Amino acid sequence: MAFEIKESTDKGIVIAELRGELDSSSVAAFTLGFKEISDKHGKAKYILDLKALDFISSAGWTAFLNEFRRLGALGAEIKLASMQPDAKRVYSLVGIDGVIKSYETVKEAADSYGKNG
Amino acid sequence: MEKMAEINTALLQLKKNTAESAIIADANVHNLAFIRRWISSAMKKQGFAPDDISPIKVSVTEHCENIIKHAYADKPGKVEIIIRLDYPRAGITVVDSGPAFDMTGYKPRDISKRIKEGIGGNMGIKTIMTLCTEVKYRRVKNRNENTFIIKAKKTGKVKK
Repeated sequence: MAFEIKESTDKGIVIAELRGELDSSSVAAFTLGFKEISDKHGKAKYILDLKALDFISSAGWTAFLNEFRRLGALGAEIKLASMQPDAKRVYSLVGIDGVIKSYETVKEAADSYGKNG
Repeated sequence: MEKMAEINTALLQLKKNTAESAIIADANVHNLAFIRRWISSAMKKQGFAPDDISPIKVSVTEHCENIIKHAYADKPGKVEIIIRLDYPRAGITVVDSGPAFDMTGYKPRDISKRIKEGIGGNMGIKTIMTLCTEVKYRRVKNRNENTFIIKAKKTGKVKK
């Protein structure tokens, strides 16, 4: 399935829904698509909704980390939500869980912004 | 992307046996999704569960990405992928013509600092070595043969 990124907002939180497969063939589509979204919203609270992301390789994880660092430097925040079990295994294995927070649902991720700022 | 996969399919040579099959593909990132689907379909037919298929899909993708980027340095090349399935054992061999490189003797760098700094990278080999039950390497006739082996969990064979 081709990679897609769709944007929505909910109570000021920017939600980027990722669909399809994210590997080195689609990582540029993610980076460009997410840059377009983040250029529009700047210093905001972002959630990457991974419910429909069927596959992710380390190229995709590296892109998430790069965006986390890039937007973090601007004072923005990124959280992950609705990760599939296969992705969650690698997320913990390589230690990304110690850097980018992940939540079971988009709602939980959005609520966490309310609690933690 | 589906259309691209169809075009690439035409470039592949396919030979089939009962639980052993192989493809030769251009070492190109646009073939990765097709390769994953091909492996997934073959393993499903032999009763492997999604939880058993996933580590192989991730490992083969990571390895092919390394071949494209490092072994062939983004120049044209081929990868041959051979699937040998004998439930509960699955062995997927990836053959490339790049310089000799034995990942089983490679000690992955400590990537924790890079990840904490939001840099990433260098995650592939660690991921492969952790997800697979075993990885075997041979250098044969100037080619690298890496075999990724998993043994299905005790949940049992999935009926077709």
